[in-house]
Amino acid sequence: MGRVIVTALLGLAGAVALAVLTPRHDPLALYGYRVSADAARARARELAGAWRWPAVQGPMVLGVTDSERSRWWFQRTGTTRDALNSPTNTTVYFRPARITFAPDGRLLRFRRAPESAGPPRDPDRARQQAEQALSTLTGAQRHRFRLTVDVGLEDQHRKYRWEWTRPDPAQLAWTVDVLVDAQGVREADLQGQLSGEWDRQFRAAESAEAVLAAPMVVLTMVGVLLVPIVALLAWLRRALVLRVAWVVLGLLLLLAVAQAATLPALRQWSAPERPGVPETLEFVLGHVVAAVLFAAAVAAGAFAASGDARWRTLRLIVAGRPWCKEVGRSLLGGLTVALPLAALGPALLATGIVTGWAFDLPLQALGSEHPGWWAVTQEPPLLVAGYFAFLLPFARRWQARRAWVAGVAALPGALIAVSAVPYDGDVAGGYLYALLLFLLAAWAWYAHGLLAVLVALWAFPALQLAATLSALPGDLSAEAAPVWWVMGALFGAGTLVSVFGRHDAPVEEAAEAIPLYVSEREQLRSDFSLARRAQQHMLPGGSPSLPGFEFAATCQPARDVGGDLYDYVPLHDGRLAVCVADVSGKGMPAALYMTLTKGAMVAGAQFQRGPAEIARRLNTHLYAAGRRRVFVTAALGALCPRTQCFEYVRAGHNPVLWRRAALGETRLLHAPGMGLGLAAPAVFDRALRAECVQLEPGDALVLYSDGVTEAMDADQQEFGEERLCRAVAAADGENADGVQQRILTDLQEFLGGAPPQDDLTLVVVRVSSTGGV
Amino acid sequence: MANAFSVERTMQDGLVVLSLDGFLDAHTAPQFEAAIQKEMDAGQVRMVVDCRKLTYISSAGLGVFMTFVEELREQGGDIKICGVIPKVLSVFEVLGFPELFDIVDDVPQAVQRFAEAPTRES
Repeated sequence: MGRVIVTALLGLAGAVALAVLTPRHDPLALYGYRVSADAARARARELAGAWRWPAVQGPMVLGVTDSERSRWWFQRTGTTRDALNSPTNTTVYFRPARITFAPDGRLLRFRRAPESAGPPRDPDRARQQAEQALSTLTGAQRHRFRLTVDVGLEDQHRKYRWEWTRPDPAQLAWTVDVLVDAQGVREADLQGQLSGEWDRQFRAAESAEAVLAAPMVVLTMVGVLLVPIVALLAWLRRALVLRVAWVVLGLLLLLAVAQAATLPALRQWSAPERPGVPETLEFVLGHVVAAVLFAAAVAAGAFAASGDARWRTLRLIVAGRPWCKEVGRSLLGGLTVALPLAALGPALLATGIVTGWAFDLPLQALGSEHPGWWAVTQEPPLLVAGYFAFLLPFARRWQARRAWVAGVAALPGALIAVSAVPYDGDVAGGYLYALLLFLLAAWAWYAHGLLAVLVALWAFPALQLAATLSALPGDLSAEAAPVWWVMGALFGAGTLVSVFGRHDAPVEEAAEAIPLYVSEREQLRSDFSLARRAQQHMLPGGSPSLPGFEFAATCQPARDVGGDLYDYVPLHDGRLAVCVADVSGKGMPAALYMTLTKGAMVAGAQFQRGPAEIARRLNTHLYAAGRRRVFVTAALGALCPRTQCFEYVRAGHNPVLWRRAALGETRLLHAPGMGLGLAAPAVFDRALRAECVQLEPGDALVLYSDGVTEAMDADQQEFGEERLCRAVAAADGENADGVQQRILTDLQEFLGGAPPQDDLTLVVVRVSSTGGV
Repeated sequence: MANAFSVERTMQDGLVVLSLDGFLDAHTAPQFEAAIQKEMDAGQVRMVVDCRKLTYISSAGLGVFMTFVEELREQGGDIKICGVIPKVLSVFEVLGFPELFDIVDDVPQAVQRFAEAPTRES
């Protein structure tokens, strides 16, 4: 319950942060002026026509934040929220051209094409065109600008720069950069820069760190994600590859559909730079890669760690049984954790703005030059998902040693370091972001399982994007609507499943529910643990009550399942029959035969006249049912509460131990008989002889299987009947439990830590000292 | 613990004698099984199992006897056991084997038993 509360609190904090930091606001109210989308579009078309630009594709209008200006606005307005989302500019995109307006409608920058059309032929004319662009941008302030850069021909164009350095350090220093090519002005840019201590460079600077980090990131990605994938594929059985393919395909479709919800906005922004590249290819590169990796993570998570609670929900889904409360809860947990994850970016940015060390964060989702590459290398969520889905379960499975696991647990430090570095500019900020992201993901994994981690890491970029889209002016909230719909639908589905789904399946049922073989060994292990439970249930639940007697019993199979059993059967004449039986052999075949024996014994046992008859009927059944290869030995006796007489038969079994406390002697009761199922009834009946002994108060009877007496220590010495007798004798005066305990303790001491090789069964009967009824 | 076990085959008076040596348990039982199967495939249905050097037998070992004895007796043959050491004999007796098998002292006695009562009703 505590976990749910913490997650709910995190979700609430995230939602509040998102709402506070990304509100929808009106630049008119903020600045006293506004550029409406229609006005911007109209003006841009006008300008494009006037400049005779090539035919343009239906323009998209977007308000973008400018982090430098953001901090400047913060200084002016004192409000982080405004600073974060203050749309300083409105950009109209005509792929690949674009025109940007300042908030008050002034033209800020324009770009006709990202590549040059060739070097300008006439330098004077080029200079003229550049100055014209300058005038267009600066208007009445033209005279304040001084030419500072005129480098001549460079890189297929001519570049000019004018600067206006203003005396007040709190004010922006403006620059105008113009690039001229053969067709005229290709690009003109009016930029304000914060001078002095506010001045920061936020380009993707080729710092030494960034250059070194990129290959490191790739290597880490390879190590964390690909190596385990390859190992997983090698380890899976062939029959499973089809199942895995099914899972991957299904999740691919799911993720593609979900990503498509944010597609319109994304597509527009990622395409403009490269007019020649087909959209579909970019989409494929960018999102399918991520989708495949996520799907593989799901498959691996489902198969890799069996029995672990955190992978249970994934296993249920993969097995085709998602309608479980647990699955719903895990889904809800993941979506809830996605909220603080989504708020992480804006929250850190806001903190940075306030404290002064601002840094750029992914709001990268808002645009990318190389979406495919970005998705694979720049995305910390993928690294983190890979860590939880692949590395952790494989580490636990293949190396139980704590030091190794601790080392893997410490690996996040390296992951975080590597994933943080590529962020532009401020490295410290990047580290903090990556660390907090990892911690939130770790909470989701710990509290709600792997499914929640994958859901959270998938959902939060979409949430962040949608929140930002809703906040920015321009007609973009409509673009965000699909995200809200998808998230809402998932949340609704999760709630439905949590409320109306089947109850949490216990681990055993979950193991039953899954028809897939991780490996045969896995399946066998789960089958065996089920069988062990079933067999335990076949044994008597507690001790029977019979006046004048106390009972204690134990049955410990050598393997998961065994061939021993003990039972108490009340007879119709008031006596209680006690028996210990032993199937030749160990393990599953013996256990199955034992089940048959139990069934045969219980059926009609209470109507038998005595132990001899029970044994005879058992032999008849087993002889008819079985092949001679397997046989059963049993010691069967009946206790009479009135006369304290013990009538018993020994069907090929170990003798019954009779401790006569009053006389201080121990006897082994060795009535003639042979094993059950070996011989035809005629032969068996001839061999079997029932005997009767008179019990005294304080006496003890021990029925045992040869797992006790034939237990061998390291020197290949057998425990033997003598030691057993001594143990029982030493427990004179104790109750039945005490006798049993003494035997087991002596046996353990004798074995000296070696595990018992055979099934171990004991039934102890103590005759009360006070006597009978 | 891998305990040594081996089966040696000889012929005596027209009968197959399988001499067991060592531990007969679940691990080594297949060896014994294979030896008997080989004889049966060769058409031999009368066998003497010489247990003079058999030091230990478990229920798996006992099971081997049970596996083949019925079939052999149906074909008019039998398995007769001889030379069992006391420790192993007690295991046989606890189970009631003497009711099912002829257990004698040595090979000549087993041969003689075959002459008198070649087979036994199961």
